[in-house]
Amino acid sequence: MRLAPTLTFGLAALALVVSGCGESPNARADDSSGSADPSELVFAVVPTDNSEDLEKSFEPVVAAIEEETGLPVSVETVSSNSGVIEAQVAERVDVAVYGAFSYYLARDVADISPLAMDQLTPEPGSGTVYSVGVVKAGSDITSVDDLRGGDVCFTDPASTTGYLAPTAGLIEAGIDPEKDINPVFAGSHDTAVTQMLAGDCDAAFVASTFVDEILPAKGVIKDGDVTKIWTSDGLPGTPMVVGDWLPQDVQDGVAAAMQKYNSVSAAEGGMCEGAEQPAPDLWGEEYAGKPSCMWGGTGAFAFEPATDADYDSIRDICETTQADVCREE
Amino acid sequence: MSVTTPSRPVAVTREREPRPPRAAAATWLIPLGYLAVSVFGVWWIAIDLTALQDGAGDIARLLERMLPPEFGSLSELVTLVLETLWIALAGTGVATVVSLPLAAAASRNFTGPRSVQWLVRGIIVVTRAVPSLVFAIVFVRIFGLGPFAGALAIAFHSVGMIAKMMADVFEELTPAPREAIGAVGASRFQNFTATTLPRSLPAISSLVLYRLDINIRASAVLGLVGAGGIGVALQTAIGSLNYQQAAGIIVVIGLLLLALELVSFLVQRAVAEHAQDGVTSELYRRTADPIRPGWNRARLLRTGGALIAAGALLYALTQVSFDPSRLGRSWQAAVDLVTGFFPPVIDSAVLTGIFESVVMALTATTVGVVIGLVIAILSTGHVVRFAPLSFALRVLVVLMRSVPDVIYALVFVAALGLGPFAGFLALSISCTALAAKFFTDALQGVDPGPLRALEATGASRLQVFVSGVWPRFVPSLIGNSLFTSDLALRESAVLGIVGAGGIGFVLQESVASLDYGTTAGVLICLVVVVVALEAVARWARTRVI
Repeated sequence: MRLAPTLTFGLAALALVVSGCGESPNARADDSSGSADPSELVFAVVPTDNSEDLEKSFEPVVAAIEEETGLPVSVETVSSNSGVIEAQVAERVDVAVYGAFSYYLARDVADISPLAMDQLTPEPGSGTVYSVGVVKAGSDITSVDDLRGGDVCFTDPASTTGYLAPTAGLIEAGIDPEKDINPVFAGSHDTAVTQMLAGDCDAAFVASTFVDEILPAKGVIKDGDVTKIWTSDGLPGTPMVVGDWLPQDVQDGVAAAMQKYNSVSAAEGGMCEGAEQPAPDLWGEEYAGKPSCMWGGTGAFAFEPATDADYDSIRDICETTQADVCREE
Repeated sequence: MSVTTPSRPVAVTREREPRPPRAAAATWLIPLGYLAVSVFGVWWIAIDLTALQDGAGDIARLLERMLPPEFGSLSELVTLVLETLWIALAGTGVATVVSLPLAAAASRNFTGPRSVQWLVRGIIVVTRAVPSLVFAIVFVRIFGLGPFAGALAIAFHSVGMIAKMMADVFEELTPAPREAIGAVGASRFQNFTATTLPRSLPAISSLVLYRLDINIRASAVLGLVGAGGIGVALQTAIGSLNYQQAAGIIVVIGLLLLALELVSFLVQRAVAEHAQDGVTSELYRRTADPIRPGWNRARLLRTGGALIAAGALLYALTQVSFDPSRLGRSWQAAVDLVTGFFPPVIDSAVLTGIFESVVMALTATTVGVVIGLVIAILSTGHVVRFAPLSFALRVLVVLMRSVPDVIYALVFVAALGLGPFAGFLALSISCTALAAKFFTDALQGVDPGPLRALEATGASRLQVFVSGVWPRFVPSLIGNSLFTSDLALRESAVLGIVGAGGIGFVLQESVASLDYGTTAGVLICLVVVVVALEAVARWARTRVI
């Protein structure tokens, strides 16, 4: 068994050599929180309902921000919204992209402002998302009124599209979402739909993009498997949020980067050299087929300017539902 | 006590003088390996302790927002906790029952066909490597949303740990009774039930109760497949920054775990192998029928304990029942889901994730083992005999465990910002709690006979520890360290919370975006790493035991 000692010593030697020379890839510029003159920006992203391959998809956006602010930006992909919000409270995350409801929660505890939001197509406001209620095709249930006494699948209690918006809708229809129906939390949008189809519940409320695009594209459901019985009002899309503690010129730089580029002009500007992809047909003749950059986790067309008022609808929903998760500190 | 040895006649030295055995390679190679990885890890994580000091104020502000704990409706909370307890109990109980034959077949002493042994070892490694989240999404498709799928996911994943540790226990038993019973012609089954099983009961009961503890905490994660219980409430409270409510839930979970630790302690005291040494007669009472053993205290306790455990399991099983009529309908959905796992995708993201997780898990294990060892030594009374200290440490370790990883992660994120350092600290705390528990149990299980003998020669407590306790503790030190890494690898999902990547983040992302090919790739990588750790552990065991 001479192999083991050799291996271990080799490993030890390698570790010493590697750590002896050069700085760790994770070393941070010495930049304590909230400094007036940051030497680096921390950009945090949380997966949202319709995002994939987060880190790569934000590279062009980050390149644009680096260009406009002149500061190096490190991207952190984070699996929990609380992680990002707490880092914002401690002023250790400068720019963040997360769900609209996370913004509502963060606004209460951290000094932050929305600066831009997802715009999925060249049409302004196209980042708007919807919540839908679906039933199995051919079900007797044709409206939310028929849900009384039934089992209803939601995603989880802190999801806007998967719980809060639908319960606001139910309350408006005169249904108590805790007493008149039996809520079942499936944990995710896809599980809510598949388990509704499997008969675990009579209806499911999820983000419309799952029913319209993601699940059919993945072959999980086919056209005509489900019928929509309810659609919410438009809900604001994914916000990009900056810390108020950043110097004004840095905040302006981030805003300028978002106004200057869209997915196609970013490709022209060389933000994603070698990784261009043809723009989808959905973006109209002007853009379809042109080289474009992956612009954020949702593959948006651009980030359009946003203000706090754009998120009023979330507050209205919280007002209506008085849900536990909406509480303010 | 130095004694000058007079020169001995040649005739005596020929009967080889007993020498202390040469330290086996494994006892220093494995620690050296950990050290090497840790040196790299410390550099790679960019550990910066001054940053932690700077962040103390942020930690304090966050903790302030968690206090005082809010309990809401206490009866509702208790109902949810009990629901979680039944899920965990049913899962752990089923896993234990299944594990017994698996462990017997996987153990080195198994005398049956090799092929069966390897098959069983494969099953054990795979069920351990696959996180319960993955079992849960498959079982939800088959059995529907609800506690049954959650309990089954827990059961499958627990088999990997319980059966592995049981097999280790079986292997560590002295072979004499087994050989004696075998020599009189007992069948494999008779031999197992007569010699191996009763002697390993103390260790088994301890590890099963510990797994129950782990599973109660794990069901906080499984809440979100519709399994119900406290999980949904806890995750929702944390996700909506309602930390006071989260603190209330954690306090209740902590109380439950403390109660469980007390049960574990009492059970250990009652059934421990050496519990009655020198206290009562170990002989069974006479019965009318001379070949039937009578009852003594130990047998009463064992049988009574087994009956209580069986009753609890049966009750828990009635609490998680499912609707069998839906099985027929769901087969196709499950097949569709599983075919989505093929072909597995192992891309650079998966490889980076597994690399990050392995480096962090091993480095955190090193920290956890060192601190855990100190805690274990102080709380077992071999060196320091001060009951209040050992009691306080035991409670502290349980409380450390009751706080979910995500809370530690949030605290360190507030202090340090996003990145591997915060994740590493959170993971180190998990590893410390794990290692402290394993080591305390192992130190407690050391046969006191030889220690008494050493004491009688006038050895000091430290001398007894060094020459009596330590040599027999080393095998379990090595084995449990490797096993802590094994568990830490899957707990490394906490790294995702702080933006430090890791395999858990890749797994969650792939499940959330229905990219099951990548999920399968992650599973393959996990199996490879767990098999590698297992191989090192087996090699070490053949050398040291």
